[in-house]
Amino acid sequence: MGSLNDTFDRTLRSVQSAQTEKELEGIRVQALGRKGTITLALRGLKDLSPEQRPVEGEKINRYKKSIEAALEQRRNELEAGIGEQEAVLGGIDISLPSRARYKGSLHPVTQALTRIEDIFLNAGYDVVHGPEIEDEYHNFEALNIPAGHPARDMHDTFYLKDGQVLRTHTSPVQIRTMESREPPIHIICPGRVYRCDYDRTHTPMFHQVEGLVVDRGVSFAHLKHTVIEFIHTFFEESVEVRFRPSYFPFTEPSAEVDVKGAHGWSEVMGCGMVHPRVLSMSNVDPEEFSGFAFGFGADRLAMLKFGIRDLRLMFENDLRFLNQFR
Amino acid sequence: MKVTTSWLTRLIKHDCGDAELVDHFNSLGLEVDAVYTAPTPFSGIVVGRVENLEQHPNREDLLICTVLTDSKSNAMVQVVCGDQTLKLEERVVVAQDGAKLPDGRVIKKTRIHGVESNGMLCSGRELAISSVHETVWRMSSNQGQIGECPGEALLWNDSVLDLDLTPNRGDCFSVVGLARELALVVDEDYENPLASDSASLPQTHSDRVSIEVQAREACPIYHGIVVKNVPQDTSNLYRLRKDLTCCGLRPVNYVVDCLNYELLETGQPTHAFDLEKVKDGIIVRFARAGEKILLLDGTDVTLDASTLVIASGDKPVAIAGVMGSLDSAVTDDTKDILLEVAYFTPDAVRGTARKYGLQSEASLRFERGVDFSIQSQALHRACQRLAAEVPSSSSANNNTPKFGPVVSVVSECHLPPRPEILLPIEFPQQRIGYALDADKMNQMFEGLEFSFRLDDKGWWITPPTHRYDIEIAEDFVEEICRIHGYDNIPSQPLRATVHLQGSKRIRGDSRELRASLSTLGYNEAMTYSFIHENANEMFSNYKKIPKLTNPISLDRSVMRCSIIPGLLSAVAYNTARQESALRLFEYGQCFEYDKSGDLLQRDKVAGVLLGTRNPEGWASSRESIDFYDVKADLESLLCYTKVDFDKVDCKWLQSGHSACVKVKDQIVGVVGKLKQNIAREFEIDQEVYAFELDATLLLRSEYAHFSEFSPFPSVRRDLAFVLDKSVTIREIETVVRESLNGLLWDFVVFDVFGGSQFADNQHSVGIGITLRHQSRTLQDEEVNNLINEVVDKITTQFHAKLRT
Repeated sequence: MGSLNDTFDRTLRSVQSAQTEKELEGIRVQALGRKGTITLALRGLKDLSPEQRPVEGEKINRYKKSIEAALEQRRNELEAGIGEQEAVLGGIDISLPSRARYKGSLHPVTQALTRIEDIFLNAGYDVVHGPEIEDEYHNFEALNIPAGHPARDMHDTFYLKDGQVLRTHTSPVQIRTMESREPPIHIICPGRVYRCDYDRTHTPMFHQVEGLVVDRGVSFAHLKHTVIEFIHTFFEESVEVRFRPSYFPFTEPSAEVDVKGAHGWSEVMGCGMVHPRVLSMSNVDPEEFSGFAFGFGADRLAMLKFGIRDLRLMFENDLRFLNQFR
Repeated sequence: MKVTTSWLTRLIKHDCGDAELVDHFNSLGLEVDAVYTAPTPFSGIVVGRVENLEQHPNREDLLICTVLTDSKSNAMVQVVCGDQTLKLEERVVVAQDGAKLPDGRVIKKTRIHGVESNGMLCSGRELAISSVHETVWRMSSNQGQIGECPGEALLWNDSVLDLDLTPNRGDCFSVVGLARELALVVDEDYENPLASDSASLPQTHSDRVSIEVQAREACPIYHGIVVKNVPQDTSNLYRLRKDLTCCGLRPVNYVVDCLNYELLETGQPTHAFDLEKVKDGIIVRFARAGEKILLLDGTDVTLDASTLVIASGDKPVAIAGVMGSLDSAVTDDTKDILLEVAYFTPDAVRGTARKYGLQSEASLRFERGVDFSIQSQALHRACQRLAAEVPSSSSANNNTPKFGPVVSVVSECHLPPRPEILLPIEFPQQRIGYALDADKMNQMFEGLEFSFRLDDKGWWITPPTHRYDIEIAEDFVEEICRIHGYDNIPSQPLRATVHLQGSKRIRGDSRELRASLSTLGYNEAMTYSFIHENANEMFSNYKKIPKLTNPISLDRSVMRCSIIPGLLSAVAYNTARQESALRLFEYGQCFEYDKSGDLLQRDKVAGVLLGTRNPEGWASSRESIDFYDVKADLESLLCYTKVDFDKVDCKWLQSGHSACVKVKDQIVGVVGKLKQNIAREFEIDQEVYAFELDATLLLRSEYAHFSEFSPFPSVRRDLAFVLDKSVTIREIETVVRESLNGLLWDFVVFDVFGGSQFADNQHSVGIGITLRHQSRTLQDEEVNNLINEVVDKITTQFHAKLRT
């Protein structure tokens, strides 16, 4: 039999290397149990001389406390999961698939629209909606497009029987807003619009967002800043932006806005200073107020943002498409 | 509008490459849609070298030539040729077997007097580059490589700019107009062919046709001239036809091609009538309703009284400014013509072309506005052109066109007014937000050919006769911006007054509904708002339907009254692609005329579901969804309000398996199992559950109000009854609630089952009742009494048996 010292060292080592609660318990019984080495040694004190007794007693008690402390520490360690082996042996397979639920998704156009709305809402604009079946007055006349005007050709309008039309843009919402509110006006009007057209980049229905600002002293320079800042914010990068003169009956001057991408310039937006005739038709005094307006296809921005090549995919609702936009 | 760069260059010197030209036009607001190399009007044609010449054995006037057509492979072609001047080593143009010539002719292998000829050596005329036909075309040694297409070397290397002009810029529908614009930015003068020529035409006969303009407001200027002996030989038109073709016009005949060329160059449409057909004189008038005309494109048109026509005798011979009649058209055999150069006002032509579904080069320009100061010069130039393209052989025989006197009817008072417009000094800076100096603006106005004067109020500007889009001060602002360059105008942040406002929608707006449904496992779909009339019929409750008069297809001809048909089509689309479990929703406007005929446009939110309750997996059963799954989804979706479900009779839902959805006693929509016949109409053979809610009724505009809750413990008692299946849980719950007098804290159904131990029409229902008192702890005894009372009522009222 080795000295008590050796036994003590062995015990401590086996405590530290114990991997299970059960192992620890075995060690404890061996050392501190009724017939354990430490217990027996303590009992054996009575056989020692009175001089030796306190010295040995103090030593054995020290061993006892150390072992107890070591056991306690190791037990805590095992409980905290440091005993990996036990986890592997008695744990669960976390790679087993879950009790899964179906995962939904939001349409990319919705995601783009939400982003667009937030950008303008954060700047203090209102989001305004309006009817998709419109009268010709709000869709055309009030926007300085009288009957027979060649600009009506630019629109490929769907007509209903009683002289109503499917709105070709969300501009009628701007007119309705000007008719019912006093300037200053800062709004955007998102929504579905309709034009008879169908190919890779045109669908007979798409989503437009138009913006309108009417206030004192609004200038073309303000329009440029708003549009550029919006584009940079939407795309989260300083894409190059270009303004080209264009023509819309409801703005003067008018511009098309292009952004530069990997495949050159692509047109994303039309805009301009609100035509004074449009303001006065909607009871806004053009002598006092000026304004700018802009409009763009949200589907188109979504295509650019998400890298979608064919607009028609947006309305096919193929799960393999929808599931990509979680 | 298409234009070739070479044509532009003829009118304005510039040293821009194609890319720079495109940038210039884009920055001027004349959008270039495309730039491309002018199409070569031939194929299968290569440069070759004469390697061997032999006399044709049977014909003295023919040679047998062997031509090298590929210097690498030493490929040779044998052709029989009539040009005796041909020498060895000369470089020629070979049309090989299968080649296509500019005039459309296809060259084929053949035998000429017994000798094989595998192609043809082309003359200048055959290549449409000169009028020479007697000899074959020789390429100089530095032109093109053997075996290559000689297109570029033969100056077919032109570029075409395809411009997408906006409707306000009628002035740019001509090469002159484009040159005028280009001159604004390249700092060069352009040559206006209309300004340069004033030499009078040699008048060689005195025949004339009388002209009467009855509709003077619509036709303020009408010039007519009789041209006799018009040429037919088009051999000299090769260059002109090349330009016409590049610009998108098809060559027709000598007269039409010359006039079209002038039309493109000057923007002034002209028209030639066969003199024979208009001998009775010309009358410009509005049509009589019902009058008929067969147009030269073959369409038969019945005219209405708002259509301006050119008539001769009693018969219309043209729709003014749009198209002539077939009968009076110039053909290859026409000898004498009446040439019309008129100014029709935009109002007179606008809408006419569209009304009859006709679009012509003339109507395109007249409806946008033609310069009304150029008709005399344009007539002059058109006549010169008719005389200029006569082949030398014909002119040598004095076989040239002969011009008579010009007959003109002009009413200046009906020309479009060009009043002075004031541009206040400070206005440009206010609108642009940027100051440009006055000198620079003066320069711009000069370049734009505005006549103007400046006084202390501002500029008084008279726009030129070719501009129809300048009416108000803002129009000048656009001109200033455009010429200065939109990109050169600095941008400036907008300053605005700040207003605070809270949201009026606390819960249930479109954003929340969408987010909730997607969390519940639905994919958001977007379907077309127009659907098939039959589909609409299946879902609509009203007779009057919002039908399109010009739908894109029958499938999409009615504005939807419901989102469900669109979603069902999307389901069918996906099930046809091996998807068997789907949950789709959509949020959007629906359209319906109500009983009184008023159009309702309301936002709805709808969903469809089919397939298993959960995705396949080790822990999930393969049970299909049922009514209670959708019901749960709606309860989660509308968790912010009190939802109720009640019986409903819905056109498209299976009765007994459907319900209306109520929020605060108001019906907001329906939910249930789709009728099988409707599913089949959409080619779906699975069970489909669906819901549709009126989104405008789901908004909640107030916040929740806190009410004190009881701190005392609750008591639960479970009871199970055997009762008739016809007794609804709602009835049982009502009895429980009423018996417990406000102490009911929670009511659950923990168990429903039938089986052989019960009668067929009976089942067991287990309910859990939780009671809680607001102000004290409930005693066992009183709970027992209450529960006994509940048991009594249920057993007597529903003939139920308590299971023990």
